Amino acid sequence: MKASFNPLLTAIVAAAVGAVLGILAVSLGTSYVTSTTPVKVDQPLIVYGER
Amino acid sequence: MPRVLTRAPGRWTLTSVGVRVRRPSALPGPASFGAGAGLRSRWPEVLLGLGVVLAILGPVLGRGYLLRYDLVFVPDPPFGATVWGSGSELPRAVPSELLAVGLSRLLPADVAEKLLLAGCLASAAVGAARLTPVLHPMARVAAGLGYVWNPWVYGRLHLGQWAILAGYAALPWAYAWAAGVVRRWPGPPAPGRNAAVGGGLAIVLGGPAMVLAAVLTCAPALALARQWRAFVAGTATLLGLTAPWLLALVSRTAPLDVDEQGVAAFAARADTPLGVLGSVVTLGGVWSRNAVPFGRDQWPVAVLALALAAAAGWGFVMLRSRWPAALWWGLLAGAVAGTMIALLPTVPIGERAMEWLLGHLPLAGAVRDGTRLLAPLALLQAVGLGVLVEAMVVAGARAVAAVVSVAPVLLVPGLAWGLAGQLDTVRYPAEWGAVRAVVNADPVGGRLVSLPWSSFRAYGWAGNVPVLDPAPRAFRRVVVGDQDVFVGHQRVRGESRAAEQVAAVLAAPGDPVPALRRLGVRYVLVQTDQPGAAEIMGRFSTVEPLRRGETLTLLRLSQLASVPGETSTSNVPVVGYLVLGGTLIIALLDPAKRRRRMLLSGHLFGRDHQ
Repeated sequence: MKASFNPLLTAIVAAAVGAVLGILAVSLGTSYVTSTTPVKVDQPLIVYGER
Repeated sequence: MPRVLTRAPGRWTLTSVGVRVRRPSALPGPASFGAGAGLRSRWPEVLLGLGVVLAILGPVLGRGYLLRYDLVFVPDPPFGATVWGSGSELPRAVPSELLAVGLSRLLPADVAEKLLLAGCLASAAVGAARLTPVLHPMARVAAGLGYVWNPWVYGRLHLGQWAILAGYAALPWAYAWAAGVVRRWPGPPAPGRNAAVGGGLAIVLGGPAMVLAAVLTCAPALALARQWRAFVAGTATLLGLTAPWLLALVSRTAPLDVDEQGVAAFAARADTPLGVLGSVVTLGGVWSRNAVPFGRDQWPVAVLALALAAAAGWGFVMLRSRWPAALWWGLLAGAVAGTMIALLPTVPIGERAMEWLLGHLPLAGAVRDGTRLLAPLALLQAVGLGVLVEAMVVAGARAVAAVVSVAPVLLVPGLAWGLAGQLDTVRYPAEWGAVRAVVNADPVGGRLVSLPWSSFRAYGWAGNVPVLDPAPRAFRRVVVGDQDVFVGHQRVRGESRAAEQVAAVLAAPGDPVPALRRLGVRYVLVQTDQPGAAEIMGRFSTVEPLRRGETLTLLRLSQLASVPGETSTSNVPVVGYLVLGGTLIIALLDPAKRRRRMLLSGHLFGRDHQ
C-alpha cells in the first residue's frame, strides 16, 4: 500500500530529530577535556571493586 | 530440512518429519485466550518466573533492606535531588529512582526493593521464554533460564544494579514488539502487542546503556523489514521516555567532565582462562573480579560455558528458517554490535577512541561499563538455547535436552539462594530515621554534606559490604558527597562540580566551616562508624552538634549563605517527567484506538506491512 504523507507525524519526527541534534550540540558544547589536577582529600579507601 | 513443532487444531504437529505429538492441554486458540486460558497455556513461564525468583531471592524475601554496592534503598525516601537528576553529576538514577521512590511511598521501601528485584528477574525469564518461537515447555524454560541465569545477571545482581537489570528484563519484550511489527502479531505464545509494549517500555529504567542495547537490537530488525513507520515511532517513543534524563543532562549550568580513567577501570576483563573474548562470549567479563561467579576461573567450567554458548549459537542458526530474515539478522546485528562495544576498550586503539568520545560527548560516560551491552548477546543465546532444546526434544533426545535446559544453572550455581548466601537483609539503625526527620522537617534550604569523604560506605550492621552512601537518597535537600570511586587503588573521578568544591574546602587546612557556609551548606552529617570519622570530626570542633548518636552526628552550620541557582526551583525535571508520562499514555493506549496510538506504535491500518 502506498504510504501517505502525515503532517503531524512529520512534525513530531522533525521535532524529535531536532531535539536529539540540539541535545548533542549542547552536550558537546558544555563538555571539555579536563587538565586539572584532582583535589586530594584524605579519605578512607572503600573500594567499589577490584579488577 | 528443519523440524519444528507447529500448532494444529487440537494437537501439535511435527511438520517436516511427519511425527505427530499430541498435546491435549495445548495452547488455546486466540478466541479462547482469556486470562484463565492464558495462565494454563503459560504455566511453564509462570513457574519459571516464580522458580527463578524463589531460587535467587529466596533467602532475602523477608523484611529488611538489601544494601550492597549500587543497591541503596532507604525507608520513606523523599522525592529528592536524586529522583530529579538535579545534582551536578550524570543523572544516572533518572528515571529509575522515581519508580523506586514512588513504589516506596506505596509500600514499605524494603518490600518495594524486593518487589522490583523479583520483577526484574521474573520479567527477564518470562520475556525471553515468550519471545523464543518454541512451543515445548522444556524449550521455553530453557530460553528463560538461559537469559536470566548467566554470569551477566550474576554480576549485575552482585553489584546491586537493579535498574540495569530492569532494562535487561525489558529487552526481550522490546524485541517482541519489533517482532510483532515484522511478523504481524502471530499470536501466542509470542507476547501480544500490549504486553510487548508494556514490558518493552521498562527499557528506559536501564538508562542510556540499556536504551542503546534496545536500539542496537530493534533498529536493525525494523530497518531490514522496512518498517519505517514503526522505526520512527520507536525512535519517538524512546525520545519521550528518555526525556527526563536528557533534559536533566542538558539543563545543568556547569560543564560535565567525565573522567577518562573510567574507560580502563570499567573495561571488560578476562574472568575465565579463555581470555577477554572467551569471557565476553560466555556473558562474563564484568570489570570487577568480585562480581564473577564462583568457578569461572577453572578450565572445565570455562570450557563448558563456551560449549553452551556455542550450542546456543547453533540453535540460533537453526532459527534462521523459522524467523523472518529481518528479525534474525536484527538480533544478530544487535548482539554483534553490543559485543564489539563491550570489547572496544580492551584494545589500545579502542580505549583511546572511547576516551576521546568521553571527552567530547559526556553522555558516553553512561556506557563506559561496556559489558552492559552484552544484553543482546544474552538474548540471542537464550533464544538459540530454546530452539536447540526443542530440536533435541523433537529428535527424541529428551534426556540430553533436559540437561541442556538446566545447564545455565549448573554452570553458575553461585547465583542460587541469594548469590550463595552473599545477599542478606539488614535494617537501618533507628537514628537514621531521627536524623532524617530533623533535616527533612527544616524548611530552610541549603545543602547537606555527607562525611567522611567517601562515595562508598561499609557498615558493620550491614556486613561491611561496600554500599553507595545512602545519604543522597535519604534527604530531600541536595546532598553533596564524594563522587569518586576506587577500582582497586585507581581513583575514577566523579562528575559533580559541587563535590569538587567541597573536596577543595576539605583538602585545605584549617576550619572548613566558613567556606562550607559560603557554598550554601547548612548541614554536615558525619557517619561516625566509618573509617576516618574521628579525623573529620576534629575539623568541626567549633560547631556544636545538633544531634549526636552512636553512628551519626549531625551538625548545623547556622549561617546560611545563598548560592546562585541553588534555591531557585527548576521546572526542567517536571517537564521531562511530563513528556515521559505523556509518552507512556500514548504508547499504552487501547489498541482499538489505532488513530490515536499510531504515532507511537507504528501500526496504522497495516501500512507498514510489506
